[in-house]
Amino acid sequence: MTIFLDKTTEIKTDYPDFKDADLDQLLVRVEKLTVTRNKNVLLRDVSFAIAKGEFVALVGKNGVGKTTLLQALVDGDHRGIYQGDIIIDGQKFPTNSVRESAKLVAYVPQMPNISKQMLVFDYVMLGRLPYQSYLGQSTLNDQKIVGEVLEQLSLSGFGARPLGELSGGELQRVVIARALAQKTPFLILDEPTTSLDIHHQLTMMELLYDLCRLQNITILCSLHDVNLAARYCDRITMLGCGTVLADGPPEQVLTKENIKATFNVDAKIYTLDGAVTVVAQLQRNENIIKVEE
Amino acid sequence: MGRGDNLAITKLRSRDIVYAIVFLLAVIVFASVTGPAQLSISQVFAAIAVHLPILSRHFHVSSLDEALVWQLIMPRICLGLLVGAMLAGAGAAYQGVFLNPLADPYLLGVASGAGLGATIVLIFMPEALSWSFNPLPLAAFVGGVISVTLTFILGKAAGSGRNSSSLLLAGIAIAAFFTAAQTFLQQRSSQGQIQDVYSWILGSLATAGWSNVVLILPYVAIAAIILVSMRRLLDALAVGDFESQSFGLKASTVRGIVIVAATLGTAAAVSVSGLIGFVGIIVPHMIRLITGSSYKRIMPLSILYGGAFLVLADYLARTILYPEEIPLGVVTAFLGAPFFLIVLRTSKRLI
Repeated sequence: MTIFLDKTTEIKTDYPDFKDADLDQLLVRVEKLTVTRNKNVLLRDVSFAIAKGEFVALVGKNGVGKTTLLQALVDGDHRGIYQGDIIIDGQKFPTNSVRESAKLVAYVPQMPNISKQMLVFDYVMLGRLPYQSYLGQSTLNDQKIVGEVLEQLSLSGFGARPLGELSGGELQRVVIARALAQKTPFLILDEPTTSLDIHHQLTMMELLYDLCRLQNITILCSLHDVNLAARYCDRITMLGCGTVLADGPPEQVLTKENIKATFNVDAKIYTLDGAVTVVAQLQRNENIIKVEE
Repeated sequence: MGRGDNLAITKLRSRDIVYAIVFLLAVIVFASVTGPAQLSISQVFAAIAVHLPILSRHFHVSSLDEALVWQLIMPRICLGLLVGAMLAGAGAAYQGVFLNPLADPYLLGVASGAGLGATIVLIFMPEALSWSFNPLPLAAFVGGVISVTLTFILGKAAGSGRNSSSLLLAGIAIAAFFTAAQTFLQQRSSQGQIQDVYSWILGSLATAGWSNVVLILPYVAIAAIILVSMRRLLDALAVGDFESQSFGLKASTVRGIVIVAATLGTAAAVSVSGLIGFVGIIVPHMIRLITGSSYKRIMPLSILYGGAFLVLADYLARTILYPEEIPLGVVTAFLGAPFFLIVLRTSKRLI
C-alpha cells in the first residue's frame, strides 16, 4: 500500500492550540514523525501534541495510517523505519526498557488477541506485569488494583469467567480494564466503538469521557464515527494522506471542506444539542455496481 | 455474584501438587514391586535403604535382591521419571510458545537430528556399543542440538526472527532433510543394523545402572527449573507479540529462553531413550482439560504427571508380552490415542 502525498497539501509543523509557553502542560509531543515500511511512506512529518487530561480523537479514512500512528506511540514490536521524535511525559519514547514504556502508555487494540479459556482476572492481571519481577508472583497490591479496576468498569463478578464466554461489549471493557491496570497517564485505543451497537458505543464513549475527567487519564483514540468524536472529545486530529490535515476543537475541524478532503464525501454540518453533527452524502455520478445494458 | 468472585486469580494450588506427588510415589512403588522378580515392598525398601547413608546399618538384604533393585529396577524407574517429565514439560512449553495445542517436543527437528546421530553410530561404529563409554546417547544429543541450531539459523534467516511460523517451517525443512539422510544411511546398511536403528527409534528405557540417569539429570533438572519459572509468562504470550510488549513483556525473549530450555532437555531425553511419542501431547492435554488453560498449573503438573505416565507405560511395555519387551513408543501411542479420545469426549471444557 503506497500513499502518495498530495503536493498541494499544506504540511503543518506547529501545534495548533499550544504556545511554547505551556510546553510543560503537554503529555505527548510528536515531532515530524515519518514511518516507512517496505519503502512505502505510511506517515510523513506528522506533528501534534496532546495536553494532560485531554480526550483526543484521531479520525481519517481507512488505510490512512491511524493504526500506524497509534502503534508508533506504543512500545510494541515495531515493523518499519521510524524517524522523528516522540516525547511522552518528558521522556523520549520508546524508552530504553519496554517495562518503563509500559508504565507510560497503555494500548487497547481494535482486535485483541485472546485465549478463550483465560479467566478475566488473569487477563486483567497481565496489565500489572510491568510492575512485577519476571519470575515473581502477583502481590496482594496487584490483586487489589485488578479488583478495583474490574469494579470500576462494572465487571465485578466477572473475574472467574473465561474470556471466550463474554459478549463483544464485555470483552472490550475487559481489555480496557487490562490497560487501566497498567496505571499509565496515557491511554491509546484503536477504534474502541467499531464492533459495538449504538447503546454500547455511547456507553464506551461515556466511559472514556469519565476516565478522562475523573481520573485525569489522557486519551487518544481513533474513531470512525465523527459525530461521536464531536460529542465527546476535546479535540479532533484529522489524518489524511499520511499526515495531519486538521487539528483542533470539533467545530473547527469538522467543516465541509475538511470532510470532503479527508473522506471524499459531501457533508452537511448541523449543531445539535451543542455538538457539531455531520450528515454525509455520497455524490453518485454513476452506479457503483456496473450493470451491463 | 459477590465481590469475592473478582479475586479469582489462577494459581498453582498446593493440593494439586500434593495429589501429583502422591500419585507419583504410588506409581514408583507399584512399578518397583510388580516386576517379574515378585519382590515385596519391604525388600525393595531395604534394597534402597542400604544405599542411603544413615539407614544402611539398620537394613539387611540379599545381594541378589540388592542388585536387582539397585542396578535394574530403580535406574529404569528414575530414567522413566526424567524422560517422561522432560517430554511432557517440553510439550507444554512448545504448545505455549507456538500457541498451538498440537505442538509436540519433537517439533523443531530434535527427533530427526538425534535419529541421524544414533544411526551413524549404529551403522558405522557398531563395535562402539560394547565400549565402556557408550557413545550412542552423546551422538544422538549432538545430532539433536545440531538440527535445532540449524532450524534456528534457517528460521531467523527466512523470517524476521519475530515470527514463530517461519521457525516452524524451518523445523519441517530440517527434519525432512535429516530424515532423508538417515533413510539413505539405513538403505546402505545390513539387516541387523536396520533393526538396531528401528529399536532405538521406537524408544526404550532398558538401561544398565545409573550412567544414563546421571547423564541426563543435569539437563532435565535445569530445563525443568527454567520452564517452571517461566510458567506465568507463557500465559502472557497468548495475547501476541505487539500486545504483550505494550504491557512490558518482550515476547521474543521469553520464547527464545523457553524454546532453548525445552529443546536441550528434549535432546538429552531422546539421546538415552529414543523417540517416545505422545507423552508431550497427551499429558499436558489431560492436565489442561482438568485444571484449565493456565500454564501456571499446566507446566509443573505436566512435569510431575509426565514422569508417572512414562513409568506406567514402561511397566506395560515390559510386562504385557513378558518375557519379551514391547517398544515403549508403541505402548505410549497405543495408550495415548484412545485415552485421549475418551478424555476429550467426557470433558465439557473447550480445547
